[in-house]
Amino acid sequence: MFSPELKKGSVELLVLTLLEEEPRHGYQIGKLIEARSGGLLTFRVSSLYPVLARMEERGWVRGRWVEKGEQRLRFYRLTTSGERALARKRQTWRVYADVIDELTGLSHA
Amino acid sequence: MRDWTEWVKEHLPLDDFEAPAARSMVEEVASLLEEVYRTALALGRSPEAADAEARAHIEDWDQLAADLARARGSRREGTPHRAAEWADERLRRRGHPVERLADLLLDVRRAARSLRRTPVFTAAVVLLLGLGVGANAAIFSVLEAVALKPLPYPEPERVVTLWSTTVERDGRGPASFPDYLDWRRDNRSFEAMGATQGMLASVTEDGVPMQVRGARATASLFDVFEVAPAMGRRILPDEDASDARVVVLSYDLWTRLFSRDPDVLGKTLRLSGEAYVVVGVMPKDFVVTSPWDANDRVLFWTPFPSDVLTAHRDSYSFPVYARLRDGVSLQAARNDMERVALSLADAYPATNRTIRVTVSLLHAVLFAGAGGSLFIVLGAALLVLLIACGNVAGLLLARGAVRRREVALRAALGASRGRIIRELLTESGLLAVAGGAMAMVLVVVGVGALRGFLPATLPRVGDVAVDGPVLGLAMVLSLLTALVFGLAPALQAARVSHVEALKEGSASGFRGRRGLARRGFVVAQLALTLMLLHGTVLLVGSYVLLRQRDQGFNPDNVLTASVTLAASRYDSAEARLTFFRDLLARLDALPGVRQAAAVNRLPFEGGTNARVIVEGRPVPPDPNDRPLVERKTAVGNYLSVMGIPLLAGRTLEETDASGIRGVVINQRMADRLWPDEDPLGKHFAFGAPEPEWLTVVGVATNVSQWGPEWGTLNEAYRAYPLYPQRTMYLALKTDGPPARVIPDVRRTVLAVDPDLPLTRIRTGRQLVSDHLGQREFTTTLIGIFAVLALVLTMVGIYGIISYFVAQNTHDLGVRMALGAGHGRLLRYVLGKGLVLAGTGAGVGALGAYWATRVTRRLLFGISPTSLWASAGVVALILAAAILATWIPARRAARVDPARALQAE
Repeated sequence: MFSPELKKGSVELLVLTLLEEEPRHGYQIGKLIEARSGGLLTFRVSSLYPVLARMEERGWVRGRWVEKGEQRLRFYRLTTSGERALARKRQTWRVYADVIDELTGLSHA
Repeated sequence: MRDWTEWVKEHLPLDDFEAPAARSMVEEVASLLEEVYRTALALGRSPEAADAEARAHIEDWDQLAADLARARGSRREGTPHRAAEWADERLRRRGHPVERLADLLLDVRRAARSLRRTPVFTAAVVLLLGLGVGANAAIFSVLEAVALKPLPYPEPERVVTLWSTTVERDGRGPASFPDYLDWRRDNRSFEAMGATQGMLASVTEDGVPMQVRGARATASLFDVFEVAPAMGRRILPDEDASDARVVVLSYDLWTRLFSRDPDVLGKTLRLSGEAYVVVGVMPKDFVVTSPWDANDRVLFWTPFPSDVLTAHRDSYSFPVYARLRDGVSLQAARNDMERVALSLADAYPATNRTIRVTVSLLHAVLFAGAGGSLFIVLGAALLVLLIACGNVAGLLLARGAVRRREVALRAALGASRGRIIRELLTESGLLAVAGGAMAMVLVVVGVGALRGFLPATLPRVGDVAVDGPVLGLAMVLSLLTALVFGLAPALQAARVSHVEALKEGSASGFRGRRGLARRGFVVAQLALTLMLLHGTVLLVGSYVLLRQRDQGFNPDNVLTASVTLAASRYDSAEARLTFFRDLLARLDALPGVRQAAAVNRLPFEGGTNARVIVEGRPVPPDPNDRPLVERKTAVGNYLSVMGIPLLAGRTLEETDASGIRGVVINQRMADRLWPDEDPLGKHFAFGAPEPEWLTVVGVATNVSQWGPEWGTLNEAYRAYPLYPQRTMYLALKTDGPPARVIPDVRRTVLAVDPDLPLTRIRTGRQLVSDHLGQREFTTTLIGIFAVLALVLTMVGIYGIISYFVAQNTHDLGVRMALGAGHGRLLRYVLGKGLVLAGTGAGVGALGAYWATRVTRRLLFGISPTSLWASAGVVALILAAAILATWIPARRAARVDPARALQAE
């Protein structure tokens, strides 16, 4: 639906937002985005997982293996620095969205 | 269900699956895929469909590996990460080199598209770069050919000339032959030293007598130049001062007289009627010129006759050349020659007490003069380039400001800073290539135009041409300019925080760092232009003063030409006089010729001088204290032909050759020697021991002897038999255009002496322009550059003020809404321009004051710090600034407040 480039700019924000609510595991995050966007935003494992790995490396999220039946799943939760990053990203995105609106004439003056 | 871990391990290209980080990655990817699979099953898919759905989640394993490696390395940027390197290498191998090239082509195409969208901007930048760079490269190609190219000898930087000079080092001249012999014997600095003496000889070329320049030379002269003959031999040491009638030909003369005959050795060449045996031919690229004129080539060399050994120690007519020993500096050689000169002063006090030696690099002697003015022209061209760069930078900054949001958006969408800089620089690069191409075209056109307009007196003027290195230089200069001036805006655009850029409303181009940079550029342009204009005003002023200056003679309707009588045929004063009487009588009778005369030196052409003693006054024991007088000799009424007014007494008559020996002196000599007396009837003499007294019978107006820019010297015209020179100039007053009588004059000369060539045929006007030519050239070029600079600067001011008005329409609207009238608004915007102009003029005035140190020596009759010139230029700059500000200011004053406020 949307181009990968367009998603690339927003995926971190989306993931952080979901993890702010509660710790979640990787595929759950992808599914939630898909569900909440009404199927407009989908993520493949190959694009979602590197984002998680990157954020973990930066210290924004922390992952933990959890046994769930016969399955092992890795759950992520937001760290303090992840909360700060989320706040920054929200602000940027708000400005960005405003500008896009303004530039494209979508907002009501 | 498939073992997802195994499947991932199979496909994911990691170098070490046992590393903890890698194991964790594999596990997590596998667990995610398993979750996809399970979810699909739970939604009712078949196992095959679920499996396919899970597998479809990984599109590109290489890319995934690279992304993961980068993600793991993202905390420690810059530290090498094995997996990242490895994965990158795989990607590179996959993409290399076609994809890289494709990337570049993509960049270029994108840049070209973006430039095409703004044709005015693109054309302006290309034109500015082309003009600035092209002008510089064109002037540089002239400078290179004329002044920079080394002399065509091995290690030319070791070839020097030695001159006789005085203790005060005022002027320099050739050496005397005895001095040369002593210099050669006593020095410790030179590997070789040779003396020459210029000679003119007539030869017959295709049946027509021609005059050619040759030189007597010592055998050692060829050691100085270190060039072996192409054929035969050089002059031998035992031929020095031997009366051997042998001649070494230049390649040029060999071609002209012998059509490159390979059997020329042993053949006879008649020089002014005397037979010489050809013993050698020098190679084609061996060029020796007169030390006074790099265009006056020596075409043959013969040994000195034996009488040179009896030449006097105070007879200075032998230019000396030498080659420095390896490792000896010019300064060391100068010190060494000072020592030699002092020892000669001790040994021969009567002649050498005040004689010293000047050692100069031959290259500097020949080319420094012309090079100096050309360097100033190049300096002016560089100022134009800088001003053009100012405009280019201003344009790029303005474009950068306009595109700031575009860049910020792209950055927000994930384009990296490096990528954005690369794109902006690609644009600059494209502009540079286009500008460079434009410059190349301008160089070719410009050098072509310059060749038609270069003064003929410029050294090596015939060698001026467009060459590869200069074209390369144009391209490199253009690239450098565009990249340097494109980099700053690119970095600035890329550094900007996106949020900030996006948040900012309509930015004012006049405030803030960017505005400051643009204003800085305009101020710098104004300052540079003021410097250039100031120099131009001084140069044009000098030129006009020189043109208007009364040179003491009337060059209109005058034809001049030179003849040199063969010594063998005209061996007595009577024979020479008879020749000139006969010739002048025939020339007088030609239709179109009003009057004919002959003189040894024309105005501006220099002269020879000697010291005089005055009758009835004590003779100063030191000859240096006696007055110096230029020696002129004339046949016929030279003063009348040249329109030189007689102020007192009479002109020369034939009887003045004997009896009272009447002479006509110039006003200056009358004023200097007989300040409060009537000079008529007074006596003076050249040479002391047995004075042959001369009687002043007339006083003539001063004529500039050494060139239009020189002051006048004492001058005395004697009757021809008293100073019977072999080389004389014919001077004819004509009824109409002087060129019309040239064929008749030539025929008449041949009728009197069929072997006598007529050379240096010029009109009086040409004589003047020959001596003003270089100045005319320099002044015209610098003037053109100054006008160009002024126009560019006005465009610059116009640009920044227009930008200011456009960016501040809202602000101006508010002011108007608050009651500011049109006049007030106009003044407000004009004020902005004037502040810039004032600052620029202030800085420029300081620069101009500094620059007068360079231009001072080109000025004539005008002070480099002339208040009129400075005030005029500052007024001009301010007027130009007001003019350039006026249009945007009026636009600002017409702003409709309602619309301006709406615009926000």
